[in-house]
Amino acid sequence: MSRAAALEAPLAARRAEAERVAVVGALAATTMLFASLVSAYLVRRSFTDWRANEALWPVVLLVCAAAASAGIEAASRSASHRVAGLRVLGLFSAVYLSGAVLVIASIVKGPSGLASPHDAFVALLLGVHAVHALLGLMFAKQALRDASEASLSLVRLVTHFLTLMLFGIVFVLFGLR
Amino acid sequence: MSGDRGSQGFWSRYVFSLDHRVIGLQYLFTSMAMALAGGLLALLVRVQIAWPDHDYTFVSKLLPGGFDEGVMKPEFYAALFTMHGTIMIFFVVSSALIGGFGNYLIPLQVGAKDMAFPRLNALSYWIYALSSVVMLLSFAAPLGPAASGWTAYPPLSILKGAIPGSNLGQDLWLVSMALFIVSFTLGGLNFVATIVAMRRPGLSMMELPLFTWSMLYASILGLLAFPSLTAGAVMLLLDRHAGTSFFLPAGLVLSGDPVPGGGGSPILWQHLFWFLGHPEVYILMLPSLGITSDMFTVFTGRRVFGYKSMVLAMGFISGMSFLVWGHHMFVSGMSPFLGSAFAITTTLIAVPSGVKVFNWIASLWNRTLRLTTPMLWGLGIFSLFVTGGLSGIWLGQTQIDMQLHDTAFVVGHFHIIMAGAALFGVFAGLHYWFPLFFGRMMSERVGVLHFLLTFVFYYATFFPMHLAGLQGQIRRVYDPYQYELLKPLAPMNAFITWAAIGLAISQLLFFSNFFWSLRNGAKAPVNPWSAESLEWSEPESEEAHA
Repeated sequence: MSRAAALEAPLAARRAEAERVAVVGALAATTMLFASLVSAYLVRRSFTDWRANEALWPVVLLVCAAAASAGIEAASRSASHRVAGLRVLGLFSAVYLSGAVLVIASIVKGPSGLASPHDAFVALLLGVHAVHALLGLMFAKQALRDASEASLSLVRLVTHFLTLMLFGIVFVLFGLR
Repeated sequence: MSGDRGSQGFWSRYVFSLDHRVIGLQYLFTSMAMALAGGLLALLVRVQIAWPDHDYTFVSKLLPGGFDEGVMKPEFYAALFTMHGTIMIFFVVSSALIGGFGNYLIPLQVGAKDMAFPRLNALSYWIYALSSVVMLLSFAAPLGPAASGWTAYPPLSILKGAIPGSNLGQDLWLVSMALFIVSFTLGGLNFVATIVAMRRPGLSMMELPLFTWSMLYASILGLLAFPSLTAGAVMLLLDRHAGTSFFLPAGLVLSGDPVPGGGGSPILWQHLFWFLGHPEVYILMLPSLGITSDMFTVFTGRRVFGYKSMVLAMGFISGMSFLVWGHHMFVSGMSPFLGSAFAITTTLIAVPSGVKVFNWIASLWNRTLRLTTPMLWGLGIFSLFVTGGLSGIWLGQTQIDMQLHDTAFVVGHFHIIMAGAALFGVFAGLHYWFPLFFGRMMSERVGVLHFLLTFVFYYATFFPMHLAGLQGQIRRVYDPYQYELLKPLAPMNAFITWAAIGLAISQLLFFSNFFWSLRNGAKAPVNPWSAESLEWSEPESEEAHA
């Protein structure tokens, strides 16, 4: 629905439009948060004490995020796949969150803890992403209660955004180390 | 409206309400309480600058931790200016203008029944209230509140042993700011969604009052700028407690012992902080500029000159505010080329600001002005915007800023352009919308007297600071007269402090007028100022009076 049409529409449609605007606003704020952290990373890595982390990124986290995105996409495209798609979203989001916690814990308990700036950025960016993934999951649970197309569309937007962010973070942390 | 007000109990109606009007008033009253705290801190700062060796036995009995045999401790002085700046910028002016007026007025001005998300709105207020309590509670921290300035520059804000305020007080400061940012973000999302999507059918954006436009811009600025402080605050907390070194530089020695770790960059914090810090200036000022434009519309009887260009100018100012943060860091060792770039972007902001000024002049030119109290405050904002804006052009130039950085000139400048214009906006709004909020009129006679005294004392306090700064008066110095150079400035500093005391006493007129009028003010007609914006024609506004 176009914005002009939404303003002429009944209250329920305007509320749906308001939810969409709020979600886009929240994603814009989240983008700025990650942009700030990535900017800090790019500045900090130019200092003399910087040592790149040789550890491999657990690819399983990327797979989880991609699977969660695939799940919501399937749920959005076909009514017959809706339940299964949402289950995939929930399951892989939960696995992702658990995996993120394990990675952060392993860094914190590692030999140098968070003293290595690269390790610290890995833990920080992954931690901030995991917090947003958790918030996204809570939002999805709340939004999908009415099972409307509009809610599903918002959850899809948030899920794809978070997946994209994770791939971006991985590129910065390991492509630009 | 959210629920039937008549059938609600006291707690659900006035405390845990979802009604945007009640939430707006909750913001306003909380901001007023915080203003008392922030204002008292300012007075203590000024008294210390004017008479640093004086024995303040009476005050020391009230604040025993901050004084030693009647003389203020240096660390307490640092805590005072830190907490004054933080409280006034975030917890008073931002909250009153955006939380208070925004919540109450946006739904009415766009013709909506309430905010788009009333529960989120209430949550936003309560998180703000909690953040205010945490900030005030830091005064009770064992070693006192944060003392590293409202900018919390590292390494002072990282090293727990550096000064007393670097301990629990600094942690509480960071926690409080994090809560404030969450509150502001939730509120901002609500404002943007309400203005963009919940407008009354048929009401176009270009028919909205400029105050609503200013709220939209300020909310967007907050949504996009506060995340950078969030990022910085999380990293600062990790530096303090988790052994990271994002901002902690190498080679520090504290009390003779080398500080372990390090290798980070304090300048990185400055970038993250000022990427929020400068847009925050406009978050404070835009609502005031919007109020001023609306005052000029109402009290000249014609729509403000150049409405569309005003909307565009505010948009341009908002956009440019993200490109000028480096002018706060000219002396940080940045590349001269980068400094020049920031000087150019800073100077460019003068263009839309000039558009606003000339439009205001055209709005007032050859028109019959109704010099009511709100209109006087609007004119006061106009004056401060021009005066403070002109000194801002100076400070935006690298060569001049190098000389004036961290002097009283800067303090005078930002108190006039940012604090003053914003604070006058709060007064303008309170006088203008008081009849809508409470169904009664404030006393015009007392209001005019309060305006005149505040206007005179405000300039008397902050204009001489420019002169003191030009003569070398450094800011944030516990005892300026330890420097031979600054001894001749003692009489000027005493004058400034007396003016500040006069300014503080003048505010008693406002508080007495405000609280007296709540019960005893003349009953307000439905549209006392003959305004045309929607809040005055809202059919439910009489219910609000009840």
